[in-house]
Amino acid sequence: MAVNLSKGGNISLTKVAPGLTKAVVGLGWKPRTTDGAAFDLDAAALVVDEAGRALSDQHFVFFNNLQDPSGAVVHQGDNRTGDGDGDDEQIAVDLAALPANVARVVFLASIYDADARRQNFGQVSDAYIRVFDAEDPRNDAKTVVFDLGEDASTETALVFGELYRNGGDWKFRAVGQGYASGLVGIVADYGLAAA
Amino acid sequence: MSSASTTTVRTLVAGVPDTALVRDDLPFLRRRSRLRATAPVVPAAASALDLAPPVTAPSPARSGRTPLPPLLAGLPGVGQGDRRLLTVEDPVVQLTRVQSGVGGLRGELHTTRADAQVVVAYELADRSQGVVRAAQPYGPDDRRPVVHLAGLRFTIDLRQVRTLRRFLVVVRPGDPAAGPVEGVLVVTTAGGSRLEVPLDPLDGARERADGPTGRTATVALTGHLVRGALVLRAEHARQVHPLRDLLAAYGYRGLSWRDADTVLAR
Repeated sequence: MAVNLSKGGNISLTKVAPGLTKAVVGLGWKPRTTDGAAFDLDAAALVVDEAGRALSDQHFVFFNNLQDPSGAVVHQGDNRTGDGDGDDEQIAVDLAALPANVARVVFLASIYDADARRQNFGQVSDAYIRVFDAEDPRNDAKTVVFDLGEDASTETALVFGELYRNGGDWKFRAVGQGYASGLVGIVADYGLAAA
Repeated sequence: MSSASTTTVRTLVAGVPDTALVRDDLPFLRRRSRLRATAPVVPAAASALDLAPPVTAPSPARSGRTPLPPLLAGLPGVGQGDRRLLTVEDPVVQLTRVQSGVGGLRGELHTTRADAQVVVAYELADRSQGVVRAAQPYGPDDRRPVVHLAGLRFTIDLRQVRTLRRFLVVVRPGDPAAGPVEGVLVVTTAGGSRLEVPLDPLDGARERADGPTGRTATVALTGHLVRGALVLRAEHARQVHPLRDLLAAYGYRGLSWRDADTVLAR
């Protein structure tokens, strides 16, 4: 039985999954049935410091930058439809390999071309984020799940959750924060010069 | 079975994932193995979640992973909200991977000439080539265009930047007899960075020095995707009017032409 978190909740990964060093963060969603254009959601991760700012624009891990400079955070590739079982996109995080100046790794998803297609997260159902042990992926007891439910409505990008250091532990927090300004807004919020 | 689990245990203990059995039943393992390089020996992991600062140099790239290729060194960039003029002396800018991958790259021609035209030629990663122009504004197709032209504005969909190899922006007069178009091509990125390419009448003077005539089309901008980053260059070059010859001069030779100015749509 996986550990379920509600919005704002957090949990120590060391307690849920003792010995965890390589975590995989999976994001999933199902597009509601619409007769409009297809949904294309993109997962991304931001590697940020104590002040909540991305360490550099190379620390924004997304489809055009599939890993951070240390190679600890690796995007596993793009799924363009949200169809099929299991996670739609996965990002692997080697916790032991993250440099000491990394305080948090933030996971987010955005809807591609949302404005032009008039799409938002209100039209996406069953969005979730889960964290599991890369070396024991089938073990439900070592899996943490945050089901976003129907929370987001008009937002076009969403911070699903984050891994953060707490003393000697890595913890996971369910965030569920939406951004109407899309990926550009999130990226600007975390102090990235680029977007 | 027992040997398999022994191997797994050894992998967990020694931290040498490359010796692990290939688990085709686990999709994420299958995908990870693609990313893994021909790995040298991975050092044994420190104790789990040990947050003490590393004894050695700070976090070298993990062995066992292919590092992303570095961006070209020595090319100037453009910061968030910054404005840069791409002059003859300083024509090149390299966007970051984020600037090259978020939102759209938008260009707009500002001119007083009523007959000005913008034409964008592109080459995709599969080496196919195409041209967008007023009569044919979406490339390569209108379902999910990589390049879109609307009047004097063009947009490159950066979500699809990885399917792009290069592109070229041409500004030309509708009536070649009226002479080259003057104006400025303004290119913006999602973060509000702004690049301005002046279409300088002196461009023509430079051309005239080595003698050609009838060059009324201006090659305003070229862009190349280099290791995931867009490198833009203001060419400040004048070319002959017919598109076929102009594009051939820049290596766009994979196109079929109805006539010297009309490309055959795919």
